[in-house]
Amino acid sequence: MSWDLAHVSLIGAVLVAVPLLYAALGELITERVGVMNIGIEGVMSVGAAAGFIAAVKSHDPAVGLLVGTAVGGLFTLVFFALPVLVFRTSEILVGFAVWFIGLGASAQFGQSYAQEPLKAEIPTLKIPLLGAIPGIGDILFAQPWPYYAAVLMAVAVWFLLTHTAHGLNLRGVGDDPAASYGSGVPVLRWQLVYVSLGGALMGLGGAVVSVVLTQHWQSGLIAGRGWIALALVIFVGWRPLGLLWATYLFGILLTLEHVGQAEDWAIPAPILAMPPYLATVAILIVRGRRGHRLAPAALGTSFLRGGR
Amino acid sequence: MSTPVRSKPKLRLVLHDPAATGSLLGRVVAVAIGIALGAAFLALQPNVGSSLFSASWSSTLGSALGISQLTQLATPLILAGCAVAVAARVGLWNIGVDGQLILGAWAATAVGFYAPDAIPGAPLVVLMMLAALLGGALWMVVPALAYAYARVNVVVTTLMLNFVAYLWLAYWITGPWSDPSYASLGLSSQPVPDRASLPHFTVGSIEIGVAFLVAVAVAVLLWAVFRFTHHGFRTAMAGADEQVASYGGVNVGRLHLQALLASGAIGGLVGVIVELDRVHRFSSSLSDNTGYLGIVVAALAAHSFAGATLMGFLIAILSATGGALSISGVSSSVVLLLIGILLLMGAFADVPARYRLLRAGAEEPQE
Repeated sequence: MSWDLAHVSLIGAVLVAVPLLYAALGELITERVGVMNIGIEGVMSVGAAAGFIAAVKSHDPAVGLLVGTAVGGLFTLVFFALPVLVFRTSEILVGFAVWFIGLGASAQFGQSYAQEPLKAEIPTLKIPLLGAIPGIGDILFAQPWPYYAAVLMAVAVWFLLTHTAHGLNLRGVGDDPAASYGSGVPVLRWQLVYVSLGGALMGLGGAVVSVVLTQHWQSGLIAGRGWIALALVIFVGWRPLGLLWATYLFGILLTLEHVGQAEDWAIPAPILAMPPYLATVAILIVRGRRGHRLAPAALGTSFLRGGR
Repeated sequence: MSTPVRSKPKLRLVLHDPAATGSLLGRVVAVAIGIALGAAFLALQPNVGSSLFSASWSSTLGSALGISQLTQLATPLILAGCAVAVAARVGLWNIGVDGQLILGAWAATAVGFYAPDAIPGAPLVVLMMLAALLGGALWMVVPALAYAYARVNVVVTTLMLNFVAYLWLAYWITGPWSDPSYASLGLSSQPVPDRASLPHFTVGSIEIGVAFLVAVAVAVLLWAVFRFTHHGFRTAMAGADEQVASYGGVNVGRLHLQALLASGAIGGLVGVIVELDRVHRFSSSLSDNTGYLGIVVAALAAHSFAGATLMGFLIAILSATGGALSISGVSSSVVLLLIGILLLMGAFADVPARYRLLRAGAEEPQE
């Protein structure tokens, strides 16, 4: 393979990784407060459709990303957080429902925009000095701004969770909600807030796909990215900084298919597209029991104040 | 929430048993509310309005053709619901039925292609079904073992393997088994031999496929196994309380493994049934989100096999309605929205059973 093609692919893979990073960060903070939202795919679809419509109407990609974020958060609050946390319905079933509702609603409301091109584009932002580093400069330091925002977001989540008192309390909610409640932490309120914020990040991830990555909308656009994000959180052991390299690795795996086609490799394209999914399964197995020790201890159990 | 002082009302709602399962009535009411909400949403869409009910009725229960089509649509849904329910009874969600049905159909198609011409129709069909059962079960081996030995989340592993299966299908129908002459109708393999098909017969003016009878037979068989055998009893025990079951001498790990493999095998059957019934090719049209709809069927049916048969029909009615409405400009994916609302309502079905109304000052009764 020529160096040029490898280089271009590595640049492209960064952008492919950005939606995964946002969505996986959203799921990570959701799971850190002890709730598992498996409807990421649906939330991303809604964010992608809403963000795209807003971007087309306003001719401003930034507005699209903002709207995708807001709609993702609201959608998660109404259709996931309230049913699960307030009405104590099954996380798994409601997660599936969110997935179906998100796919259906985005297809229905977005269908009149399916043929519409997005005129506005987010320009590449080259960071001075760092961008001039040969080899990696234009891979890591010459990308559109949502990429930098995603990296900063991962660092911010890491800092919040590991270096602040609030973050310690949040992790407490996910590990032992009863003890947290006893020590005065408003468990339910924080779960509602952070599950919804997580949904907002998933919506942003979806909007990045439609507004930045593909610049068009069609139903089924998210194509399993939400599920990959779910697996990535387990993959990195619930550590936000781990997501930085893990999402990039998956970005590379996801672009492999196109590289193979361009290079006319002997391996057929469908086979080349398999590694991301196989890698996820393989890594979950390798992590195995050890992986579970890293998980928030009370993940998926519902906490009831004083038995009420 | 954080305020410790609160005024006490005369009556208060107390969460009594957070794990309680509601009555059948609650479930029926939930489904009815879900359908009403979905219908209201659809009726509000432009160009639909009052034509909704006539379109739905005439394309489903209102005509002989509609009923014939319903049995055909319900067939894979019933099977997929049964597949999911078998695993759900031990508390595991197999969301990989789509993958298992593809691998099952792949194995069956291979048998169809490479079996000697001397084998007549009926044995060939049986062989293909056996191959499908095996293919589906084999596709489940890795998730099942990973769960049994390392507690790897079955939801994620089975789902990831779905994506691999879609690509596996794409490889075979664009590569070794491709049929260029059929490309206009979507990618498919070459057809399996004519004799590899399940016949249809007519009752009055309604056409029913043998495939449908197979699906119902599988549901009845599963019901009997879980109702009358020791295996069914052990499963019920483990599903209710793993620790109690373990003390009672049940090997829960093995039970999980068996349930997952059986679920995969039944999932494998879903695709070959559709292939033998109407598609006759290895094709992406073998699955129409069937595996995912199977989750809805099983969840709404509360893992009952009789319920799965009923819910299979209900989802078939929704699908047919969605198909009929797509003429009036509604996205064909809107069916997913309706099904999502239905599932959400199904999740709410158990909520009322978990609360008790208590007088102020009264202690919660102990069990």
